[in-house]
Order: sequence, then C-alpha cells, then structure tokens
Amino acid sequence: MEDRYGSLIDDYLRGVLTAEQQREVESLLTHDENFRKELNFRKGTASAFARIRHQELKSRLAKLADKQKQDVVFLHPAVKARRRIGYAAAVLAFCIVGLGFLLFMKMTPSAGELYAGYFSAYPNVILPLERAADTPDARSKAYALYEAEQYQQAYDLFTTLDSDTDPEALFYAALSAMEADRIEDAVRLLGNYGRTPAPKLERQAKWYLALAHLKKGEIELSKELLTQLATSAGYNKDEAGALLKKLK
Amino acid sequence: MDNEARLIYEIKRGNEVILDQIYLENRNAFLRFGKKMMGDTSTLEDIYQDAIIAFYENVSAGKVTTLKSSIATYIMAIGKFMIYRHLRKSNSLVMLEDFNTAEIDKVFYEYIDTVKEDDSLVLSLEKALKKLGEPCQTLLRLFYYDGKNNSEIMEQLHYASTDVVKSKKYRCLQYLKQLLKSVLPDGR
Repeated sequence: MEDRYGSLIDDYLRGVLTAEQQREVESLLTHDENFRKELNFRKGTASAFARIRHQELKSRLAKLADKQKQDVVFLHPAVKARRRIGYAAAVLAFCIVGLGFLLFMKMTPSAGELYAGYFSAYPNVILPLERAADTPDARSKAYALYEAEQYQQAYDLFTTLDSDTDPEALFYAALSAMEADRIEDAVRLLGNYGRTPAPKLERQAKWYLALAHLKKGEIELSKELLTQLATSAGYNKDEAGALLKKLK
Repeated sequence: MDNEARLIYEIKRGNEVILDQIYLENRNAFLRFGKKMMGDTSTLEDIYQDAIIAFYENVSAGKVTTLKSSIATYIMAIGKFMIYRHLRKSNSLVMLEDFNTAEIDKVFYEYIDTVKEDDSLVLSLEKALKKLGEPCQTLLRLFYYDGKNNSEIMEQLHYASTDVVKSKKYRCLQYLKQLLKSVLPDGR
C-alpha cells in the first residue's frame, strides 16, 4: 500500500479530522482491509512508543522503591517491637498475680516514640546520585554522603555550602543533623531555610521542624506547625493530621 | 508560583526528578489507602508506580493542562481506578463500573489502557521499534509519541523541508514493517 492514506490516518490518530474526513475514515474502516491494517499498524506504533517510555520511567521508580526504606505501617519497627514487649509483660503480670479477668492494656506512645514512628529521612530530590557521580564537587559529595546515610559527614559538608546558591542545602543539613541526633542544630537550620526566598521544600521543612520540636518535647510548637500542614493541601497533610490527633 | 504549579511546570520541562519527588511524597498515603482494597503489597506498589507515571506522562505531554484538584488527589483517583481495573481482571467481585469516572480525566484511562493492555501487535511493534536504528526511531517517536508535527520535526532534526520529513517518515514506517515481520510470532 502506498502512503496515500498516511496523512489521513495520522490526522485521525491526532484527532484533527474534519467531519467529512471522519466519515471517510469510518467508511474506509468498514470497507478497506488495507486501510484498516495500516491504521492499526500506526496506532500500534504510537502505543508501542508509549509502552517503551512507560517501562523506562517504571525502571526509574523501581530503583527508587528499592532505595526507599519507609514502611507502609504507621510505627517504626523498633517502636512496634517495644510495644510487643510491653504487651508480653502485661500478660506475664496477669499470670503472676492470678487476676481472674481479661486485662486490656492500651499503651499511649510517648513523644519520643511518635518521633521515631514518624521520622524518616527525606529523599534526595535535589541532586540524585547518578547525576552527581561525574561532578565530585563539595555539593555533590554532600548529597552523595546524605544518600549513603553518612549523616554526620553530610552535615559537616552541607553547612559549608553557600545557601544563596543552593538554599536546599540548609534543608538537607537540617535533615542530616536530625539523623545525627543534633536536634538543636536541625531546628536552627530549618528555621533559616524557612526564611529563604521561595523555599522549594517549605512544607517538608515545616513537617521536619514539627518533628524536631516533638523530639525536644516542645509539644505546643510542634502542634502549631502540624496544624498549619493539616489544614492546607500538599505534602504530608494527612500525616500531620494523624500525628496531631495523637498529640491531643 | 505555588508548589503544585511549580511541579507541573517542571514536569512539562521534562524534569524527571519531579517524578521521584511526587512518587516519594504520595507513596505512603497511597499504599495505606490501597491496602484497604487489596492485600497484595507488591501489586499495590506496581499499581502505584503506574499511576504516578500516568499522571507524569499526561501532564508532560500537555494532555492535562490544568488540574481540577491537588496532585495527591489525582494520584489517588488514578490509582483507585487502576486497583478497580486490576481487581476486575482478577475476577474479584469489584465492578469497574462502580468507579466514578468523573474523578479523573479521560486521557488517564486511555493512557492506562494503552500501556497495560497486552495486544500482540503492540508487543511485537515494541520489539521491532527497539531494533529500529536512528534516525528512524527518533523521527517516529517525535511524530507518534511526542505529537510533533512535520514542521517541528523538520526544525528539530534539521531536515530541508516538510516533504523530506514526510518521505523519511514513510520509509521508516516501511522499514518498521519489515522488522515487524521478523519479530511476529508466526513470521507473518
């Protein structure tokens, strides 16, 4: 078949046919086997390209999922384990004292447990490792150390970077500080980051600042930030609402 | 520009790091929601990735220009549709018709059908396209996937005229047909 119907088919696939051309296509689809085959071939080509692209992106996300250590469940495994031990102790006590009725023990997680349950390092979305590999400057090294979970070294390097050219370095310095158990530094850095012009990760910074205050036992400050997040759309709206309920 | 507008802008620019960001930010909420509908976590993760890509690709291609709700709501609605679709295919007692189709744009269903259906012709074309060399692969991708017209392709690939583009496209399609014959299961 020559390309006599090529333009017609391509315009059909793009959805730009006139009413008359549309009728012509419908007629050809009914009566012309070669036209139908050619249309299916070109339509299939478009679909095949979409599938190839989809697989490329899927492969990217699959790699990310492998790196992602966050659990679906609400509490960190360590906290869950502590809870299980608590329940076991309760059952043991029940046996020892010989209580004649079922004991139900409800444990309320402490601020520290809530922090452990909700905190997990924010992923590096600024300078992915694969891109950083060829440019081993201080900035790239800082993000690489962060991804490698070497948080103290990452913190040391992030805090040397110029926050005017890379404001997000303040955010990641703060996250590194949280991981390195330097909560005071984290609070200071997140505050500084929030004051930079148009911070890209503003909601994320509020979330982590709320967690940092929680860790310090500053519940009211934490609740204030969580309320801001829970009452506006965007990052961790639901998480903030859930944590807020547990703090009330 | 608010955060969501910035994300949309970056997606349209082809910034794939934004895909990662959207993926990470919505993952836990989606998986918690999805677990109420199905227990298979690995399938749920698979569906979640497909939903994120469906959103990203359609925004990137300019098929969705304005959002009626937040990105998180979109992702949730697309994922929900895909869960219904999966459960229907696995003969669960869920009816796809129960899904409120007004929740997401039509382009998303079309995209999901395109990338998830196992049409044998499309699967063979996928193999043939991977064997197709340059510049044919780029030229056909620009036309059939990126939606560029002949003038845009002429400029991008530095061809002399749109007639050259048409002629090369035709020859590339003929070559693709030859490759298709070699990869079809029955060698037709």
